[in-house]
This record gives sequence, C-alpha cells and structure tokens, in this order.
Amino acid sequence: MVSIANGEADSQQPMPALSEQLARRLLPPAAGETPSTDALALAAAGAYTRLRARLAVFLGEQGFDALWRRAIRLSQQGPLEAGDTARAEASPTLPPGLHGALRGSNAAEAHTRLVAAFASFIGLLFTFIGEELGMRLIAQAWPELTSGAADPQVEGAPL
Amino acid sequence: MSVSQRVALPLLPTGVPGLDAVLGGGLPEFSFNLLSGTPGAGKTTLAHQIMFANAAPARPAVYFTVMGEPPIKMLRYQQQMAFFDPAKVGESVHFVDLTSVAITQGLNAVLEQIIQQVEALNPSIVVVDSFQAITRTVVAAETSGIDLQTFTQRLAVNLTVWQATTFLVGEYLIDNVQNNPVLTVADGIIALFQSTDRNSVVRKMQVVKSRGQAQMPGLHTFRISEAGLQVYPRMSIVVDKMERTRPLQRGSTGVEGLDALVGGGIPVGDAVLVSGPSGAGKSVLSAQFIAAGAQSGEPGVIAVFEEHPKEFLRRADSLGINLTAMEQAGLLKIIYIRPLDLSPDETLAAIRTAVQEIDAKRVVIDSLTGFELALAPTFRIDFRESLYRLVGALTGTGITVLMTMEITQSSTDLTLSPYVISFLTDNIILLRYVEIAGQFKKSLVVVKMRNSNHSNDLMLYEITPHGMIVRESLDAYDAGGVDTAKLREASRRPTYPGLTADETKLLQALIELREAPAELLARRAGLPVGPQLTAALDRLVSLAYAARLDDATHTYRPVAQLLG
Repeated sequence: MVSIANGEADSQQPMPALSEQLARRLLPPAAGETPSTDALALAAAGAYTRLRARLAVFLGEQGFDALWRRAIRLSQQGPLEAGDTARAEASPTLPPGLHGALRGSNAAEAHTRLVAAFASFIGLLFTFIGEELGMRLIAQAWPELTSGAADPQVEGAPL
Repeated sequence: MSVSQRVALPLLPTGVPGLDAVLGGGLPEFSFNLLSGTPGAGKTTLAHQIMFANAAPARPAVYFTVMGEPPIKMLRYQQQMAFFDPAKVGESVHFVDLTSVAITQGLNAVLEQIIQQVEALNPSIVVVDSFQAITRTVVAAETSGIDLQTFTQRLAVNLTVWQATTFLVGEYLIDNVQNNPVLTVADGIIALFQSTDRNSVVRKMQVVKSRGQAQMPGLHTFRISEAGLQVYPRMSIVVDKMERTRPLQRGSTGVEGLDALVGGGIPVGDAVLVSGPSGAGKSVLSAQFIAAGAQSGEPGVIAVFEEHPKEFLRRADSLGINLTAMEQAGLLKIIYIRPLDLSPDETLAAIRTAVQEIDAKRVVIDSLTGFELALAPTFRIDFRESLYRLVGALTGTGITVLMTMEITQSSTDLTLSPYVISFLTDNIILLRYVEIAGQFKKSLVVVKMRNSNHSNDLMLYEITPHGMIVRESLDAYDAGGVDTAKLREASRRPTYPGLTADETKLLQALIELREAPAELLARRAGLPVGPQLTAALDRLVSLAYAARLDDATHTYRPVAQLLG
C-alpha cells in the first residue's frame, strides 16, 4: 500500500488528515517556493487536469466531474453565492468551482482554499473506494508521490 | 480430423470454486462469452472474480463499463470481496469507463475505444459491462452509426484476434435471447438466476452454451460470500464406479452383538439406513460406527443436522466414546451445515471436502430428517432424487455411509421411513420400541443387508453407559401387535433368587459369553467398572452362580448348571 508516514519532526503537532497531506503535496511543488495567487491557480489547474486524466479513465468523465462538484460543495464554508459552484463555472485556467474561492484572496488564503478543495476531493474518493485503492490510483497519476522526496512545504511528512 | 491434428483449446481457470468442473475444465482461451442474468444475480462479481484470478502484469485484464453500474460504486462494493486485490488495480487490472463516449459519440466510438485500449494494454481478459445497456443504446439512438449485430461481430473479431478471452455482462433472460445477435456470436453463455420459492431464494446457474467443451448440463446452485462465488456442481454419479464390483469386505458397526446380526459387519462402500423413532439410539449407533472405524484406522465424517456438534460430542462422551480425541487425532471431522436454503449439492461439497481432508472411509448423515428440513423448499420436492445422487456420489468412491432417519412408530404398520427411500440402500436396520411386561423396551431388526446371511430376529438392545449393546432375541415372545409382545409361558426366563437387577444383568452377560473377564462382562451388562462391579461379581461367586477362574485376570464363568 502507498502510504504517507508521520515524520518525527512534527510528532508534537496534530497530524493533518491523509487527504489534506496529499492535497498539500499536489499543489505547492508546481506553484513554487513563494507562490502568487496566479501561480497557485495554475498549479491547481495542472493538478486537476492530471487527476482527471487518470481518474476519469475508470470513473468515467461524468463520474469524475460529479465527484469533483460534490467535493467543491463540501469544501465550501457557508452559503453558496450565485455562480459559485463547479457546475456554473468554466474557467480555462482554474478547476471548476474554484473561481469564487480565489476571488479577492491573497496567496495564503487561496492556498488554504485550494488545499481544502483538493483534500475534499481526495477524502471523498477515499470514502467511496477506500484509502488503499484511492491512494494507489492517485500514486499512479503522481508516481513521484512515492519517490521518497520530502515535501518542503509540509514539515516532517516524508513519503 | 484426428485428435492429434486438432487445434488445442487451452482452458483458463475461472478462479470460482466448482465452476471449472461445470464448464468441463475451465474457460476456453480466446472465447467470447456472455454472462447473463437478472439484476443482483451476481454477474459483475463473477466477472471480477474471473478477472482477478487471471490478470497478470504481462497479460492484464481490462474492465470496460458502459452505461451500467457507475464504476465508483462497483469498485466500492467489489473490493469487499476477498479476491479483489487493490495491488492489481492499475497494474494488471484496468478499469475503463466509456459511458461518456457512448452518450456523446455513439457505439462506433465505443468500439474504437475498446479496440484502442486492447491494442495498448494487450489484455488476456476483457469484460464489457453492461452489454445490455449498449443494446438499449442502439435501440434508443437514431444515429448510433452502427447496429448491434455489426458492433458485436466487430467486437468479437477484434478481441479474439487480440487473443483476449471476453465477457459481455448483461441482464439477458435466457427466454429472450433467441433472436439476439450476441447469442449467435457468443462461444459460451453462463446464465445466473435467483430461484424464489415461498420465502426461500436459491442462486442457480446454467452453462447454456460452451463451444468445444463438454459442460455439465442442468442447473447448479451457487452462493456468494465474502470469498466470492462458490458453485456446487450438480452431483452426478459416475456410472463405471457405481457399476463396479464392490468388495465384500465388511466394517464393524461398533455395536456389540450387531455385527453378528448383519452377517459380520456392514459391507464396505455401502449405504446403510438406520431408521427408528425418537430416542431409539440412532445417533448413539452412529457415534459407535464412527468410533469403530477410527479404531481400525478408518477416519470418519459426521454431518450433523439436528443438533449442535457440541451436543453430539457431549452425548457420545457420556457413553465412553471420545469423539473429541478422534477429532484431535485427525480421525474425525464433524460438519454442521445449517445455512438457510441449503442445497443437496452444497451438502455434498461440504462432506466431500471433509472426506478429502482426512481421507475418510466412513460418513454418517445424522439425520436425513434434519437434512431435509435444512434444504430450501425447492429441493425438498426432489429430496429422493437429491438423496439418490448424494448417496451414490459417496458410495461410488468406496465410502461406507450410515444415514439415520426418524420415523413415527405406528401400532398398525411397520414403516421404514416416511419416504420411499429404501431403494437407496441395500442395508436397513430398523429400531423399534416394544412393550414388554408394562415396559418400553428397545428392539431392532435387520431388514435387509446386501450379500449377507443376516439375522431376521427381532433383538432387544439397550443403551448402556458403554453405548448400545444388543441383548437377547425376542423369539421367546409372542407378538401381541407390532409393538407389543408377551413372553411365552414356556420360555419365561429363569429367575435368580437373591440377586439384584445389576447382578442379574451380570449373570445373564456371563451366561451369554460363557467365559469372560470382568471388564468385558461390565461392558456387556452395561455397568461401569469399579467397586460396585467387583462387589456384584463377588456376590455371584459367593452365591455359586459364577466361578472366578483366574485371580490375576479376573476371568469368570457361570457354574455348569446354569448353562445346561
């Protein structure tokens, strides 16, 4: 099984959920060391495309899209604003449903919201098909996740 | 064409216990198969089980979903099965959903996608689920660009040429496939059913078609558990085995006095029916039969249907028959089959497995009455036929089978069993109650015993602390009805003044055996070995009813006048 071990360095800190750890890993490396909101959006779009390319093969495009929409809804706090759903949005530079999340946000806020969205998606995937199989499929889309390279953005969470 | 010139048809194992036997050895490689059945019949699970059993990195399996069960749900449920190996997913098992392609681009595009994936992945197994949905799409869409027959034909040709064994999963009903092109193209058709009878549901399957294979005809029951499907092939009796000349070796019944009545023991490889009313001692006799086999190196299997095995063991133990020790020594297996809606084939499979595990030579079915009650109603109708096949399948391999059956004793007739099943067996022992001098006594008679000069006497027997023991004949009694008897005046037993009931029993045992050590006398009389036995024997000696021959071996004989 592909797994993410709890590093010794952050043993004093509460361990984020596996889905959140994965979401953090999917985004920052593409966004760079000091990401801007635009760079984060680009990284999110890339991660989304990469996930969709792999997962839609067996979930089906419709299945993937439905799962993504549900994940976006679950990651949103509070009532929805008009047009603030994955179905309503279609942006070439952002995954569906994230336009509103990034609107008016600084880089830190945008990062938090994007991580929440991706973590929600991964968590939902785990809910349906289990952590083991879900991890395996994500690892097939991101082989480097199992390469053993530590993520500089996530303290003490070596792979 | 001679056999050597024919092309070889290698067979793939299905990974489903029992199914390969039904298919005639397995699935022909590169065959194009249809898995049909009603919703919930187990088609998808069967396809997954076959796929995971055969998928390997060099020759993977591809599971195409087309407008059927959403893949995310399918993966969610199928991974509950033990055969589902997550490590294979994406490596040697690939899932590809073509629903969007079917909806937006039509069947031609679906076909192209399938061919493209097959060429890229080089799979040995291809599953298309649900093919029925594809059929509906063709019917519904005005511009699908391709008709079903062409689609099926092209799919079959391409997948066969790419050396894939293919399974189309669909909710076809066998009655409705007569004009379906899929049926024409398919090399094999496996139909799954759920047969409902009152509150009972039994899963059945039929290999409707299997090109190049001698499949087992008929409906076969199967179960779906966490392990996946398990098929119980409909029992058939191998004729050459049934018609073989059976040896005339005999095996002990384990009941003192009974072997002599049946002509020296039960013919090995035969079935014997022990029929009698409740409490007559059928299970006791069964336990003794198994214990006797174990003592002579013949392991045994007991299939218990009426009571829990623990109770069976406890009762045997109370009679000095330590079945638990035999179990621990690998000489006994007790199987307790009480699922809902049991099938005879499932029972046989369980017995066969147990027989193979310990190389058993004896099998007890206790009882046929309980067995019938455990069966699903649909099988009760054919109980006699099922029993015939079960007994034939066991004795056909040289196993001696003892079956018990509870009967209701009537005052006006002599019933062997509530069913006409006496044709099943060449050997019948009937246990009965008989009323003698205001007491219910137990009696038995050997009704028939193959190739045996068996006794026709009605014999009294007792269930003693040492188990069942056959006593004297009832020939000294006049029948006053089927279950009553009067001792003829002239044959009235002698009485032995001054003796207690136990002492009288001991003396009678001594007279029957003529000469015996204390332990054998105790067993014959059904009395425990111990101080009371010693005291009773001492009294017989002191009152001159018996003589002690050897103080060292404690051997006794009756005095001469008693024998005269």
